[in-house]
Amino acid sequence: MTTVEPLPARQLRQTCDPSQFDFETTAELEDLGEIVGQERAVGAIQFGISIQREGYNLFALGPSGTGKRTTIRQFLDQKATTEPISSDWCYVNNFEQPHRPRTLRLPPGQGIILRKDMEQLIEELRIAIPAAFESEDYRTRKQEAEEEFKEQQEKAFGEIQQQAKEHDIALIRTPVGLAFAPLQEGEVIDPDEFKELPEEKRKQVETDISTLQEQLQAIIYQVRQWEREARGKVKELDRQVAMSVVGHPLDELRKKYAELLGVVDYLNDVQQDVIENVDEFRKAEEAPHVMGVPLPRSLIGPPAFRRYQVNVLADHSEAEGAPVVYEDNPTYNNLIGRIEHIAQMGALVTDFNLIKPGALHRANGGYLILDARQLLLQPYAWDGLKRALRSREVHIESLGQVLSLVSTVSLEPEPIPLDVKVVLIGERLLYYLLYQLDPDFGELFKVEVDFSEEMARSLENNLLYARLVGTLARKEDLHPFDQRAVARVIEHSVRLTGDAERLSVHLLGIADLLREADYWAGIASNDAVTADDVQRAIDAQIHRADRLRERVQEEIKQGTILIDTTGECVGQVNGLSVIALGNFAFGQPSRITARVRLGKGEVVDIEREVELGGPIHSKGVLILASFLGARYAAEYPLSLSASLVFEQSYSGVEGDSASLAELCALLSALAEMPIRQSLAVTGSVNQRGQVQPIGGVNEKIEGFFDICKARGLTGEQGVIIPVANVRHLMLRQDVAEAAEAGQFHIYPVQTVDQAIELLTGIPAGEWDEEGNFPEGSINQLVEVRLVELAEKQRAFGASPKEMEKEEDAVEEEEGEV
Amino acid sequence: MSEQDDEWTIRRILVALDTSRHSLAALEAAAELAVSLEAELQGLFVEDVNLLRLAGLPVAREVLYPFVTAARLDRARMERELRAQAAQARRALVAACERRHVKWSFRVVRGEVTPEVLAAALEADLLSLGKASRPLVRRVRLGSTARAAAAQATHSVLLLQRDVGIEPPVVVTYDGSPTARQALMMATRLAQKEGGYLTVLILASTPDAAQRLRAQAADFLRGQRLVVRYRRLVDAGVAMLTREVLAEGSGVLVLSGTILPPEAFQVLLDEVDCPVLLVR
Repeated sequence: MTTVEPLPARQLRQTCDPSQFDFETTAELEDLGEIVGQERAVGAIQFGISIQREGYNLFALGPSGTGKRTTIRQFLDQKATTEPISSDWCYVNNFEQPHRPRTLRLPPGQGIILRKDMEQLIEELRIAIPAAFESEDYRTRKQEAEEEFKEQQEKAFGEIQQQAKEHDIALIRTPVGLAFAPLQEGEVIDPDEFKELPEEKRKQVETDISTLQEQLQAIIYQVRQWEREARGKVKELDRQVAMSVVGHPLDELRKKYAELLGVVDYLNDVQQDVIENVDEFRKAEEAPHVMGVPLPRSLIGPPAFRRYQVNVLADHSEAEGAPVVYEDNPTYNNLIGRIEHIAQMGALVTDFNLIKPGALHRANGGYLILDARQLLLQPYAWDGLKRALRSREVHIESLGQVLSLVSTVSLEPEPIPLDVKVVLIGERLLYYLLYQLDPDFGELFKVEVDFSEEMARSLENNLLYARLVGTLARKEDLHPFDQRAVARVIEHSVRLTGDAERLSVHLLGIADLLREADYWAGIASNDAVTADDVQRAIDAQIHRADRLRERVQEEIKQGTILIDTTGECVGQVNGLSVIALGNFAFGQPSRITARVRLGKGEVVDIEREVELGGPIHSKGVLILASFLGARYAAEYPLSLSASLVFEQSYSGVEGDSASLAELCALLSALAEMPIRQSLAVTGSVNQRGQVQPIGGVNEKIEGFFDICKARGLTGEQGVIIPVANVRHLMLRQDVAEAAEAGQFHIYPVQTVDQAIELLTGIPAGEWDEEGNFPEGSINQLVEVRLVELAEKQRAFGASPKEMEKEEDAVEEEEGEV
Repeated sequence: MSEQDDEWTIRRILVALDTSRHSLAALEAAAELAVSLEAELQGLFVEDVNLLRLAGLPVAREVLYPFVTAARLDRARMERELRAQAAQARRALVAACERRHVKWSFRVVRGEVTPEVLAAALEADLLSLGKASRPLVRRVRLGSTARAAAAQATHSVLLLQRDVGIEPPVVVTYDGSPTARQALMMATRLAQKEGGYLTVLILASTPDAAQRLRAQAADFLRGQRLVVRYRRLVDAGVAMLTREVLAEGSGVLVLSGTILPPEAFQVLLDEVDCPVLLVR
């Protein structure tokens, strides 16, 4: 029989020795400049933000609280300050196609300046243009043009009137036109008198009138021509006057923006438009009235001069480098931008001034950080972002337009070229799902920035950790931490990883612990945070969360949940499970029982039969059944029917960490050898009977220890664990102390034989040269029992078939009746 | 103001209406005046017999203006057109009066326009009419009816041209005559309604006379709550008067009918654009 010795107490809890630190408190330590334990991620970030190729956007993946956002932000901020400031982008009116606003790209800070310049220009023109048109000079020149026309008109009509008069004919106005009337003594001749006139005279009059009329028609044509010319002259005069007013200030602006061709073009268009619409400047802008009540500004609609405004979409006047933008609400509109509308007399109207920027506009030329989960939760935001990244342009379209729900397109702003590096931050699951489900994802987010939640434990890293504690304490304005406190923080950090050789870099959890320890130090009026304060913070954290653990332990103590910690029993073993609720996990012992009877070689997992067991648990049970068959019944049929169950388990069971315990219970039942109830077992087995590591070993041990301790430690109690889990041990101080005092034992096992020996106190037994197990060993007892069962099965061999036949015959007979 | 002044008043205002914009301006001004004088408005539309005669002629043709199409004229159509014009004139009168709650009447007579208007004016205290009917040319010259009214009407005449209403400042001539006092009284009424600014042009050949007339006018205007400016005109000639009126930027000119010979009035009226009220 191999003897498995319990582990020495020092292996149960790998403490951190405070004497390794040569500082009194963390106040003496320098701030930590680097990111702790994230070498892989840091390397990926540095690569990702430096490579200037298409599709090299970053996805920072890892559990929350590992400092992804802070780290990314820190690197981006650093990098951004060394990069050129992004250009300003403006939307201005497109005078030819007002529904397609134009973009203007300007050097940083120039957008606002251009906007102010344009405002000032329009203000100036609103004063200068009316003034120019009221000037004596203009009025005289306009009057000249009008007078000329009047004179031409007067002269033409005067001449024809004179001509008519010479023939005793008058040109008179009728209600709807003009007519020539023959006169007699200055009056229009009476029709009766006209008839009396000699035929010749009448004909003469008729001919005269006809000739005059033709001339009159020609004159009217001519007059209309002159009128057009006069209007043209006045218009040309207006243009000249407008030009004289507009030209000078615009020349100054053109000079100022001479290097920006887009702006110069725009200014030329403005000049042209002002000249063409100079009348708008000449009349005072008055609010229209309805029934004598002036309409509010919002209902009047865009004033005429809005079209000369400059809508600065991205302003970098105060930037000190490339922009780094974090958009915490990445809706479609917040990313891509939107076009707002104003209700005007019941209709919705818009113009280029109502184009609002999105995060992509603000981040253009720099970096945009987004939360992947938030982004995916917003309808169409992910699609919108991808489209922008693929086309390298931002098209502002409303969702209605994108989905073709709205056919009345109000504006189609010119797209803005996009040069941005996007950093998505999210959980690992999201990254892998996106990679698998979205074919575009891999093309657009080529840089995987994987944040780890732990780092290797070493003297060097311990010191880094101490500096991290110091840095966080300073940043958060906490008391400094003394040596022992830092050591205790490191121990806790180790425990959080569930691995004695690793340190947690889950900064959120560590920072919380530091803040809480600082609080308790404050309560205790300590100048520096001590190990006791840290312990108090840990205990308080646990106490706040362990209501359920307390309740379960009470139930066990009271005997409601049946767990024995003394005595022996056949086919019954203490298994261990872990219950994780929120941020807190604890171990709970569970009674596992096994019963065997004659059968067809099946091991029934009762949990699985009732769908309370998960697939991994079922896998564990099938493995142990296979082990059983292979080891003991290789040559004859396995003729048992065994059932395994987690007693008093009313919810699901998952994981294979109980398979060792289940196998031990089964072996005990087969060998009919009792199992010590003072021990609990955890570990999974493979088909060869080797014990494999499991998770949550610390919590499981502590769960059993707490029950034993509550009932009084006998010195017999302990837990059997896989050898491979020894390196994960970071047990509570009290467990380590009990082990030191020989009151509680942790047995590391490699095989199921070692476990069953510890549990039954009987050697497991190994095959001798002839392939037999030693007499009285567990294995021999198991084998004998299985052979017996097989023989019984063989004895019954024929009868079941016969019985089945008989039953069929009866049925047939019944059928015939 | 003396009792004699109080007796002189305007109770009936005759508006000679055609459908020109000048006559509409005359209608608006007359209606405004009727409100402040509590007078009654009489609208008159004259169906021009010359037109009817013309329409009866076999040679009659008209050129529709400004469309340049020629059409044959006949009497029935002319009658219809004149009736339509009369109805249009009546509608304008009714609208102007009812808006201001002014008592009104309207009649249509057939005859030669100028004699009919002058005859009807005899029954009214004031004749309001446009400076021209519907002129062929843009330049507004005094039409024949306006010319006759300015020269021959026995009562006061108010002449207006299109798009110009009665506006401040009010400019009035004063030479001490009874009609000048009446003119001053009318000017006072108008000035009170139009912002309280009045310019009195004193027509006097000597400084002493000017002083005396100014004192008279000031005495007359005492207690009227007006801002009054006095200017002396040495010569009451048309040229001088025109220059002064233009210099003052007159909104409305009130003249006593005795200061100028009738032909001179016509010249003056040709020169100034503002409404002119001849007080007789």
